[in-house]
Amino acid sequence: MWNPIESAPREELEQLQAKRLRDTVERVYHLVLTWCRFTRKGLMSLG
Amino acid sequence: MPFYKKRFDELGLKPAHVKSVEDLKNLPFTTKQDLRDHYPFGLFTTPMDQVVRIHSSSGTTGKPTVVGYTAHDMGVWKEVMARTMSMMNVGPGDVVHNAYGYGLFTGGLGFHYGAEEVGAAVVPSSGGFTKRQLLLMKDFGATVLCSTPSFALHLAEVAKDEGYDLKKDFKIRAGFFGAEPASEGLRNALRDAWGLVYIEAYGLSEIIGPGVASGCPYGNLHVFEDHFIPEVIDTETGEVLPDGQEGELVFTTVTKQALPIIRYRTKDITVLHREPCKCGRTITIMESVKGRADDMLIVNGVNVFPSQVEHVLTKLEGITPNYVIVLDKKGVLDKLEVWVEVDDRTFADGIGALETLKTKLQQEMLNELYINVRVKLVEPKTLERSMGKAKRIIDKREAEGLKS
Repeated sequence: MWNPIESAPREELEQLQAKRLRDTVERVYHLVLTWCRFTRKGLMSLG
Repeated sequence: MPFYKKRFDELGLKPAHVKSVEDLKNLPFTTKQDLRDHYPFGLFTTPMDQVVRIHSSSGTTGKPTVVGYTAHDMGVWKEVMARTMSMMNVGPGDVVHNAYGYGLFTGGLGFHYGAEEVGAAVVPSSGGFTKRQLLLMKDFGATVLCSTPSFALHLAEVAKDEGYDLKKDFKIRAGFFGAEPASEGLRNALRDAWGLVYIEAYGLSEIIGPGVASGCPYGNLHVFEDHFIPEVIDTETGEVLPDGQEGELVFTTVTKQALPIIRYRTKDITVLHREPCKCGRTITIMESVKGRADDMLIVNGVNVFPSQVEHVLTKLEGITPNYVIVLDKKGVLDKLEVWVEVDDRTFADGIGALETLKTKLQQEMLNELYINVRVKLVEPKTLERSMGKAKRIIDKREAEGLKS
């Protein structure tokens, strides 16, 4: 198996998913604003 | 205001409200239309100078949908494609004949990276040029074939016509097939023709491309859910359905940088299971996609998926899996006709045998679809062959503006 997570106990997988989900939500909610505010390209892409 | 911030605010949601995967159900959906509305890069969450790859749909049904990858995202893609390849222990010494299309379509490059990542030799043949492909497969000693199932069947037919002995002249041990639905009958036809293990590959460019889920040698399709969290929802209400219940598949990407997507509605109809598989994997199993909500035909008020038609066709002897569904109007009623090629032996049996087969097929269609279907048997090798995704439906009702 290329990655052992594929056969890990469900609890372990779900903990990993939860952490990654929180990071992703933070990313789409906050980080976008950060780079939009401080980069000219970001502002331009938002029109 | 950025897309997701706006959506979250409308629902009164803050990132702090998301603590576990259970909370996913409260988050807003993303649709293909959202991607189109923000064409080309409006949903990207990294500056463009961090984007190293851009793919796009053909845009035949509307504005193209554009997807981007950072170097990190390319790493994720390679990893999940390597995991796909490792389902059949593909590695050094294997020759992977990759007949998926290269270019804006993610199929060709996705399999290419996966095969390279596991150390196999890749032949980037792309689509078309069937006879040359066969020559290369034989002379290069290809051990793995990657293509759409319909093109793999076409390769087998042409190989037989050209006088090849598929089992003696070729060494194909595994086939990674995807990009279109395939019935069990079509899968068996490919297993029989090539003597290969059929591995189903599932993916969509909005999520990453191929590599979202992969079949294992036991025939179960495993979702790489450490990267893409799956849910199945009621298409009408959007409510999450329990495991074992059929509905629309939804994915949330949790490791992508350039284009993370929250709860993307794929329109693919399937069922999820979370029991461990005989292969040792504990990750979620999704059933093969029954059809796309978009592909579903409504014939005189009855829902019909092309896969149901294919299922009937591949159950019976004497016909090939090459078919076209033709929809038309007769007065106010829809008329469904299926044109299907018979095999050489049945064709040689004469009118009586063909009439018997036609009647049997029409009865089987009625049993499976609950509607009357007119079957038209056609000579072997007369229907157009696909070099990529097969075109199975001709809807003449659309042309007349009469679609139900």
